[in-house]
Amino acid sequence: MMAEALGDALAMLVEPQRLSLMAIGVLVGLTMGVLPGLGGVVGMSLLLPFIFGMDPFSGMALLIGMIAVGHTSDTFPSVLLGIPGSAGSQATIMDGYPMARKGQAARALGASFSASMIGGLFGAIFLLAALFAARPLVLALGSPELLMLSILGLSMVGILARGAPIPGLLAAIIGLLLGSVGGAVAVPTYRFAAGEIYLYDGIPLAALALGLFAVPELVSLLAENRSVSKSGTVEKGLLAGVRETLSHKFLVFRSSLMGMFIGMIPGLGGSVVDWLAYGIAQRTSRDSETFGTGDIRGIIAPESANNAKEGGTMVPTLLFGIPGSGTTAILLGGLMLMGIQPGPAMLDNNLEITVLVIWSLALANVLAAGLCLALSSQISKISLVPSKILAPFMFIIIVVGAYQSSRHWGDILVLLGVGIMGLLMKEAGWPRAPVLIGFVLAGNVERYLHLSIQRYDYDWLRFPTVITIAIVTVVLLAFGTLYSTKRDGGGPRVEDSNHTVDDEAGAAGTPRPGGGEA
Amino acid sequence: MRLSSVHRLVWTTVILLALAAAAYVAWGYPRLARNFPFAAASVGVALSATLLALDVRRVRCSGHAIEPAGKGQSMLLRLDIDGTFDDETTVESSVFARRLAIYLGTLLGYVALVRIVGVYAGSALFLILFLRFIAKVRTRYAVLSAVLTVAVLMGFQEVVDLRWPSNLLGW
Repeated sequence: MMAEALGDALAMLVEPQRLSLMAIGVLVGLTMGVLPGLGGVVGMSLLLPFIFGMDPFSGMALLIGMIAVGHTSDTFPSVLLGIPGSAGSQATIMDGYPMARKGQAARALGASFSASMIGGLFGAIFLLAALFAARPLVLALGSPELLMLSILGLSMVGILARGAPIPGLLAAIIGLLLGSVGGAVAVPTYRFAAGEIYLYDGIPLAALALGLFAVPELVSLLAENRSVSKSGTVEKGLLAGVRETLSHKFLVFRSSLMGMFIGMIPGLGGSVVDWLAYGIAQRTSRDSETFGTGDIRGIIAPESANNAKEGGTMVPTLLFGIPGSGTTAILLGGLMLMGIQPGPAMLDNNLEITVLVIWSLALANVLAAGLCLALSSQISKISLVPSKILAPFMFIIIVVGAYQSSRHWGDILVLLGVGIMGLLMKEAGWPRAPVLIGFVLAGNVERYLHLSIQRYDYDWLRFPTVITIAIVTVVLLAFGTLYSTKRDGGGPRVEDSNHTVDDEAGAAGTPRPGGGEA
Repeated sequence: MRLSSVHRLVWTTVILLALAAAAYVAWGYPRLARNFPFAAASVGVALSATLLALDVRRVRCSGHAIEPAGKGQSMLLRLDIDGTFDDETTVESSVFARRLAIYLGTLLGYVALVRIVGVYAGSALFLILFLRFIAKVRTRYAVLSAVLTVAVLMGFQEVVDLRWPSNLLGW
């Protein structure tokens, strides 16, 4: 029955009309990924009106084509400009941007797109395998397990704060506090909102991420008066990047696996999976001291994971009708508009649609990676454009992009406020990435802690699954700490662990490069 | 660039005060709304106080005394001069800091333009001024860039239904 459904669904998808619709979805998804601040939700909102009147197969080809590839093209701004193209590409900045500054943008992009493609294919295969096996696993995860997974995510702060533990922890706490702005989890109280209705829903992630990374990088680039690429060249290396992805098979595999499992957990995936993949890759890799300075593994891990995650997110969305993100919530709406009710029937009466989703995920990833690889040698030349030419356009994009978060002037004020804070953090040598980790996990940690205590009092601390995840967290923390202590000879390292991005320029005693006057 | 030791002390103090204020505000919330932010802010206060103490100790150990600002010296300049506890704080870094402030100011200027005349006119004006006077691009290229950018913005508004911030002129 499954083999027959696979064949039928593929035959339907490769019909020219549906293939064209999938390609349109892919193009929209790639465009949304490239533009900072515009993500899957905007893309889905754009496409949703067009599915009226379509048959479910065509509609799904269009929508899944868009969903599958946003995390492929969001690498362009992350690598070339140090600006997160979307929430899932934040960790890619850590090593992608330093590589671009060394003139290795093409190599970084080659590795990224191939890792994205393989991760996406893994996600599709996983979805196929998980269709019948995932139900007990998803249902086995209660609030205590979700809390522990969130704490595992928070432990990544330890990595990103390497060499600056107190500033790193403080940055994470600032993120947790920013994440607790707005409605409280358990009671009808608005926190830190100062009576502003805009803040009742909390601070929008896109505006915060753009402020934290884009504003400081652009302002610094302008002050240094040079292009992103410090060497002033873009070395060839697209295929070398692809080969490096293929040579790190195990890293791609385990990062994809992690992405798929995290994606399967509603509400946890999107913004966390790339950091988890990055952190675990760093802690478990040999010679990990090069992470954060332009290590190709720091790109391969998050990029494999964030594309594989899309396969995982389809499991609760299709099988239980539980959307794990804004994008999948709109997908659910789209399914219902086409008369499809998500749930167990997706494995029975609507099996062909479910299988078409799998084929669409796979084909869209291949198509997107091919397009991005074909375009990247040209697009990577952006890293050569002088900052004074590039920056005004980027200012417009980030202001307009930030405003789309909630279409309120508050978004722009958040962008500016967080931008100034990010600039000061950068100049003080504080890592900025922990702010984002704290921010995206604040709601989960508080919510699941509250639910766990309400439901189980403190008995949940004795659950085997909770203990297992706690042990994994402690082992990863201890392993990372021991390794870095051994590597550093026990002495403190002073570096901007977040950025790297600059900071040969800011290193002690090094004169600042950059010539012309402002 | 790294901030000088004195600037770093100021920065850590600001963070300490902000976290203390957050803890104070959080204390006023109902118990279930209070616990999480109060706990986070309290830990933050303890950590930032520790960091401040370490920074102060470091400054004292460096053996430099902070002299009062000389006549006619601005506070910022005084900090630049006094902040030379680390060899990273050089003349270049004070120039760099000034440039950072100027370019941050251009971003604020762009936002102000958008607030007054709207996204289309504000973006066009900003691009022309920036490209012509800062990037030293020829006027015709600056104007062409502005026209193309506004056209792209209009296209996006049509296709993706992007919205623009309201402006004082109501355009």
